[in-house]
Amino acid sequence: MEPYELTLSDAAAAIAARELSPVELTDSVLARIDSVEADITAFVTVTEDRARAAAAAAEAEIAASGPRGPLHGIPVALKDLYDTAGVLTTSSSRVRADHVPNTDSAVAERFAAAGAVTVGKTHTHEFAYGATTPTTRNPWDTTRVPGGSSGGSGAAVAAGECMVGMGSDTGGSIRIPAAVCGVVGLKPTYGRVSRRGVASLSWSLDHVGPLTRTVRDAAITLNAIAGYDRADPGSADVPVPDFTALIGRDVTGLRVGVPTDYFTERLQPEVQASVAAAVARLGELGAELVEVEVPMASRIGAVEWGLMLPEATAYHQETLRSVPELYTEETRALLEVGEFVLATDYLKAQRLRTLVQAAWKELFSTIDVLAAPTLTCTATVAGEPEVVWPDGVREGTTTTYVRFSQPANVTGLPSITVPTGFDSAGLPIGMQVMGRPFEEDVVCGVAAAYEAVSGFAGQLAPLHREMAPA
Amino acid sequence: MSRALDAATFSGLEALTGLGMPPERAAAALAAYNGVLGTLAGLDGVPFGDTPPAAAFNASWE
Repeated sequence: MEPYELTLSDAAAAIAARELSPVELTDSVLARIDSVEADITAFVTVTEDRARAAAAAAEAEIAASGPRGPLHGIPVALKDLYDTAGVLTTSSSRVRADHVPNTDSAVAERFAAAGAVTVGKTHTHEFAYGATTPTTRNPWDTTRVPGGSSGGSGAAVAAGECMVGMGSDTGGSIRIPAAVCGVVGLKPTYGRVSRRGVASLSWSLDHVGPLTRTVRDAAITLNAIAGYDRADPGSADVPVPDFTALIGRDVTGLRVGVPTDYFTERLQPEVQASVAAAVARLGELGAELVEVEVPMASRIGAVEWGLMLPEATAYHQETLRSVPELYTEETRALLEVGEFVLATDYLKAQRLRTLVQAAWKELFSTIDVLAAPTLTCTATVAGEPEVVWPDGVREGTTTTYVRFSQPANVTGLPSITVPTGFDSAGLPIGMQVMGRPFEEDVVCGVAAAYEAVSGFAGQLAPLHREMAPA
Repeated sequence: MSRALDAATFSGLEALTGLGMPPERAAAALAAYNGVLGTLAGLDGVPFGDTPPAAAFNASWE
């Protein structure tokens, strides 16, 4: 096994035991990037020199005084929405083709404090406004999309190009690429992690969080980045527990909500079957399965789009007028439409969000977590603008990808996706586990319980075999 | 009640935004906007009563 194939947890254990050096690990990851990027294009920028310097510094410090924690010397990547001082930060857009921030984002600061080794900046669907990431390909099948908007991080983690890829999630943009790339994606509770220094898509719906190869790795990362930040107006001043605390615990008696609507409508049968089998495994592990109706299901999309469209347009209002030609046509069209949403519709979306939140609070009085398919379908062929369902309904690719993920954005609830298997084309499928506000430890515990018996923990995409010399 | 704009009304709104769309962009934006109005119809028909918006502002300085 090459060092780049290790999970974060295994690499951290090897570093702590002095069996692996951060320099050796970083060299392996950079070589992996060099060997697969031509086929995947997960990265906008690879910060090779900075990474080697950080790895050398980590190695020296660890040799002298031991690791600061589990992220010390671990190769990580940041979505190109995250500001990184002195490093190009483009949001995968020509609008910011030359943008080099002077300061780090809050997460970049936290990673630096933890001693992580940043190997580069990953592609996003332009300004996070879409779920396919056209720049990048899926390492399970390079004719297909990696999901999005954090598609670069999803592809990079799945291909072994980093051990943590940071994402952002406004309608599902952490969980979508995680699910279609066969890895874990954790969207924390709204306000749990500071968004300072991360380009916004929608202030009231944006979350930031990690994509990793295991649930434990996601929880470890959240331990390092969670916490209050007054500079983020959405940041929540709440206690930060150890998010790994419930991993490995028995789930007997835990009430798992199983939706009988919304998450059952217009999805691929193989996705439905895989997630149903995963939920059944939770039942076999002792969880109590409780059938539930999804409250206000028909309203969720209206809230999501009613908030996101005008907020995104407000963020881009100046550049939409000064350099509109620099946006891709897809992004420009969405930003233009946002100009015409009525203020009263925007406020209705905010008021409806209050009602949706209350209804979901009531739902969670009868369950501890909700388990559902992360997505309606597996990875689509790159360039396909829509999915056609058996009943003839045509649904835009981004629209279908966010349909099952957006409830956790509207409600702000924590949600983690974990791999459950593959469709007949060999493409990954994911199940999301949603929980109560600030109970990321619970959703990680449940997801890890399933992961432990799933047979898919820590998987890498098979690209390394396909690309092996004959 | 479903809502939709015609080209003339949309043109007036477009002038208010100051985007300066050429006719072909305005036509495409109108079609997309009318599609969005279909999605936003989900905001209608809700008995809101005194429900406040889910907006936040923190007046403290620390």
